[in-house]
Amino acid sequence: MKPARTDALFVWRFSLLFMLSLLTALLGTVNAPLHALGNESVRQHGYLFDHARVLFSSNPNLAPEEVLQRSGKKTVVLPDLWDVSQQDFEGQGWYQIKFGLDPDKPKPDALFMPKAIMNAHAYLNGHWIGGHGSLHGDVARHWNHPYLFQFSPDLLNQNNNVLLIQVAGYKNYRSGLGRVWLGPSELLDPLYTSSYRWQVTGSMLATLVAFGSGILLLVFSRVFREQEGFFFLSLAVIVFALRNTGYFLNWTPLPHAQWGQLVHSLHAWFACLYSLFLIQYMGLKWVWIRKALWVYAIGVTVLSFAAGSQEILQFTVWLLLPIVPVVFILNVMLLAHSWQHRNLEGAILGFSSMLFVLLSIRDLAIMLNVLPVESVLLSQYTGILLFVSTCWIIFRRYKALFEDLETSNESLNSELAQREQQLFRQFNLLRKIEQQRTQDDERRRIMQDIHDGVGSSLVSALNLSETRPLDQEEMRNVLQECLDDLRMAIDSLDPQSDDLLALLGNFRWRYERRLKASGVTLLWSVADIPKLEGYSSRDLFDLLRIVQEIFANSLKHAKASKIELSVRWDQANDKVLLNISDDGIGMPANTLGRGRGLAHMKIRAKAIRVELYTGGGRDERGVAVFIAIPRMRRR
Amino acid sequence: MNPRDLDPFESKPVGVILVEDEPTTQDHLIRVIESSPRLKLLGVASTVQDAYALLFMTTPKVALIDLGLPDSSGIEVIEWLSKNKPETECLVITAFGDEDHVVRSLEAGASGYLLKDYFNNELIEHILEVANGGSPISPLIARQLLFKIQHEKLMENLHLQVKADLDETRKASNITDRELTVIQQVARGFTAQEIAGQMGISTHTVATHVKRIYKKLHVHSRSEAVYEATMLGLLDL
Repeated sequence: MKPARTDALFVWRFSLLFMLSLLTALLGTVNAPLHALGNESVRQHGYLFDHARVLFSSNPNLAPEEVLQRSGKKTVVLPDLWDVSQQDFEGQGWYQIKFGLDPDKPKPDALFMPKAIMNAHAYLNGHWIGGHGSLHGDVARHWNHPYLFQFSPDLLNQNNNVLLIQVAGYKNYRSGLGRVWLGPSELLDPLYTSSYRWQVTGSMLATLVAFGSGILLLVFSRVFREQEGFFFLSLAVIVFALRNTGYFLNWTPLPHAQWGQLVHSLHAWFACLYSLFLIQYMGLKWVWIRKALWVYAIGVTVLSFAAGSQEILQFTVWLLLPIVPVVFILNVMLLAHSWQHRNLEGAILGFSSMLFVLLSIRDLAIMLNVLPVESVLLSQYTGILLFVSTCWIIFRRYKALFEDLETSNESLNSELAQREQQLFRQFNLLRKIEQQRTQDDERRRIMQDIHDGVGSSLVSALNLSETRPLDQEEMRNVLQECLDDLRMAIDSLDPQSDDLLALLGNFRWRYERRLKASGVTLLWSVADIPKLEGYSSRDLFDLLRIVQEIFANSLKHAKASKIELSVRWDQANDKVLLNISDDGIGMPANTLGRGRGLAHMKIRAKAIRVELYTGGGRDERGVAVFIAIPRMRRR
Repeated sequence: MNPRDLDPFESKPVGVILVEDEPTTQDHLIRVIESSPRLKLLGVASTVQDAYALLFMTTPKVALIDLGLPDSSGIEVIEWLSKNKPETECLVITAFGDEDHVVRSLEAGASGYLLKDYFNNELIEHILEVANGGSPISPLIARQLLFKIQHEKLMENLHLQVKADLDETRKASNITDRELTVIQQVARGFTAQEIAGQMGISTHTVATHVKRIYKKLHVHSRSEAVYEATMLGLLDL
């Protein structure tokens, strides 16, 4: 996407969010349901009481009959808040309403009270018509619950009815009674249901959501430990959820005064943690402000609990008021920050946070009696938006993190593949070098063989021819020798040339004709032998050369008529024994010419690590050569 | 080989053609063949194309073929002959009788080979021996053939299911135990006479066994391609 388009899109989204949050805040302030005002049909067919005569009594055992007889009741306008009309009072407030029936309206059979703080029971013409929970000692917490009591219409008379509402309350706890409706239950019931939904069920759900997102944030904040203080936010959300339980629970784990102190402190902690989150999120240093926030939260907590049960509660507003502008200013800064950085995430966070602050201010207005006491509290709802959007942000980051991880994984993989390819290429190169070396070795060996064999035969023939001309027989012998040498060199290249028997056999096959021509009989006596190990073809070729020299000697010098070759396996010594013997005149001590002879053979044998002995042939005639070849070549 | 082992009823001269481009060897061989009353030279070619032309007109009992011909390899002629004129025995002319030349020729369908430095009477004996169904063999070549046979057996044991598919081909190329014994003894360096003595058969029979192994090797080499392909297919599964 082009930068200009991205920018335009951001501005559009930012404006939309701004409008939405402003609209929601306005709607919440102006148009939130106010059940105390009833609806059209209730107004037409029911009775709204906004005046009463009230008797305050600290005696919890007062009976309704006594109340009716007592004088000294004063007239009040409903809603009546004790903090205003009867400061520092704690106990029972008896509200007495006298009324007659309108013949044009249907006969009422239900009583609806949107607010009666802390708890209320009702009596009609001396009969108890409804009420839940205790009105003495630890009063049941119904401060945010609406009431609907149904009764028999027979209790009513036409002109002279008395409705007595007993309200139990604490001082500095916004105790009192809101406006009261009397009418047919089918008309009042929907009002009550709606009111219950807004004040109790909705609060319960909102608290659950806050708890869930708080835990989720806490888990994720561990992932983004280094980033933007999501940890503070998660704690703030959990504190918020804890504080919200008071909206729907009708009991508390602590006595009501301590609970009040706790909720009070929780407000401060929430403001502190949330501000810390905002400061951290924007990357502001603000060391002193951070410290001040901590001091504030700790200070409020200490003060609340130290100042003792109920006195502190009247300062609630004054303690919370200074932190509201701080949060508000931070919010505006967050919006400016997100605008500056074109950061949608920040904008969403900023607007939901702003909405939260605005509606909290609205709720504070109820506390300050700017708005009627029967108004539905909304700040617990606005939290939801804030927390859900934060969760969404966390989710996006987590996803981005995963994508990053995947990308880096991929690049790692491709790098690995590259390295693998490199290695493979290097391996191939090495293999080629190795092959080349083997080839070079083999070539060198063949060169050496040709040099030692054919080459030296030709050279010696040439030298001889310089002293005297060679006759046909000699020429033929020299050429035949050369050819034999060449064949032996070629045979040693055979893939099967590591098989000693086949190699010896081939030697025989090549040499047979010459033996026949000389009239020599060859006795061939070979048995199966194990495969020799560790011998190169060069070694075996050298061995063959020794054999060839022995044969040549028998033929040329010893004038033998019979040669015997035997090969057998000496298992005890792990050796192959090769014996060649003839019936000639024996071997000369040192044969001149090409350097052949016993000494030369022994050098060859030593080079390939085989043992060579000579001795007399059978019947003290001829020569016998014993060659012992270890099955495993010695190093 | 002993001439006594040859078929006594064979009286008609053996028809021979020569495919050789080197003039000296050609002259030498022509001289040797013509010197024998038991051989009849039917024609001489010095290229593969000439050889085809010659074979179009005549069907010799024995063809002497050099591998290194100017227009192509003599292997081609051997293959053509074993396919179109199986009654003609091919002998490869070689200087060294080395493994590379010989085994390739045998696989193409040759019955044996002649060494260029054979004495005249040896040459004539070899040609007649081959014409009469025998074949000489060197121990190293025998070792090579044994290796091939063993390798094949190993493969069969490993892949019996493939063997079933190729059974027909296998039957044609299966080596008998006696043939195996002969070739094992050859590989140990024993001569045909010695083997004949050990086994109680004539040297002629020994030579026949060897020749049969050659022929089977040829059949084998043809089926080998199919076999190897199947093996590859099997490995792909």
